[in-house]
Amino acid sequence: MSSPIVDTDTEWIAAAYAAHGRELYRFALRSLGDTGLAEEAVQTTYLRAWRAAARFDESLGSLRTWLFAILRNVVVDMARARRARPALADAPLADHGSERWPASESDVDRMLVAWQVEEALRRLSPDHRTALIEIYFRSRSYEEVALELGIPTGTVKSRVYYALKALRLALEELGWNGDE
Amino acid sequence: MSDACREWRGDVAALALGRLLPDERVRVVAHCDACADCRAELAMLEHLGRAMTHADATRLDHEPAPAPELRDRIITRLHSERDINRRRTRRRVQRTIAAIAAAVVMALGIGVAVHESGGSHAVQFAATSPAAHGSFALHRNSTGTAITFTQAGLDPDAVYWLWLTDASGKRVAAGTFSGTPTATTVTMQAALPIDQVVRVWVTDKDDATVLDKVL
Repeated sequence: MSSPIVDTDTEWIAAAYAAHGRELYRFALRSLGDTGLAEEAVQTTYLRAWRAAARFDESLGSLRTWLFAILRNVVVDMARARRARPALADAPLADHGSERWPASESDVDRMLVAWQVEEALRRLSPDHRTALIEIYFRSRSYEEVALELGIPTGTVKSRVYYALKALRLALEELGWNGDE
Repeated sequence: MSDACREWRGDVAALALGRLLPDERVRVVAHCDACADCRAELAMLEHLGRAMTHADATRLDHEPAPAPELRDRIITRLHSERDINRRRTRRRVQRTIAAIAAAVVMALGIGVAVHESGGSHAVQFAATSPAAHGSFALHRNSTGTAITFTQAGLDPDAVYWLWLTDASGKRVAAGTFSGTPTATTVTMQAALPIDQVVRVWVTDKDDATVLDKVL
């Protein structure tokens, strides 16, 4: 830590950042599509959390869930503010990309689910992840994948089934509330 | 899903993801129609499949990370905001203390005024004539000093002057009154601020002092 000040607030922020900073950033980046904005969103999230720390009740939910709820609102606020600001005529194309910004709260919620699924996929074992990605996301046939991996088709089907079960568990750990 | 349906697991998952060929699909759907466990499993997997439609598997190849200094930037902002809050709190406390102090001073002032105006702090004159005696209390007012004055034993046929004197020796008349044999209280007024009063005294028509008190 570069700051010479060590106190309860600093320690709390540092610990919360170490535990969840990277995943918060990935969701912010997934939603906002810009590294600078994503970092700003994460920073705002931690500051809002620090301001409201007295209201955090661990018996009602994990710190992770709470931080993501704050970040979701931060993203909604930033998207709202961005939409309210007219694009500059000479702004780079990326800045005009309003289609990339969530247009509503439900868009943000969908992005959150998408991000949760992607994070959950990362947590799968390589065998499970490969089976699911090849069959579902790349729309390849079971036979083709079985041939490529050198395993029976039934084994590929079985891996996909267990991959889905593991994915569901990982999603629940990530706070997925069943939204589609 | 029960162990008896273990052999169906892969096919139920494939059905949920829409990855079965038509003839396979008919077979698995028929099983699910007849098997409550597999039907429930299918519903759960279909629900999961719908959530998966939003995901982009190409993103898995890259796991972006924030700038290494982001944590320190957050902590710096925290310290900055906290310092501002502390300064605001300090100013608020100072304002509160000042308000309380002002209220206390005002209350004390009112207390003094009440004390004085109530006459409970009456001061006895040092009598210069054996028969006369009296007391007084001073009150602050907007034009100078009011004197609640009680006297007895003075000549009822004579006129007396009540005076206030400041530190320079200047005397200011508070008015005249007639003597009474029994105790009588009157309120008089002098154009001298109360905190400049160093002496209160009474003279007769010959300007001889009959009641006197140096404060």
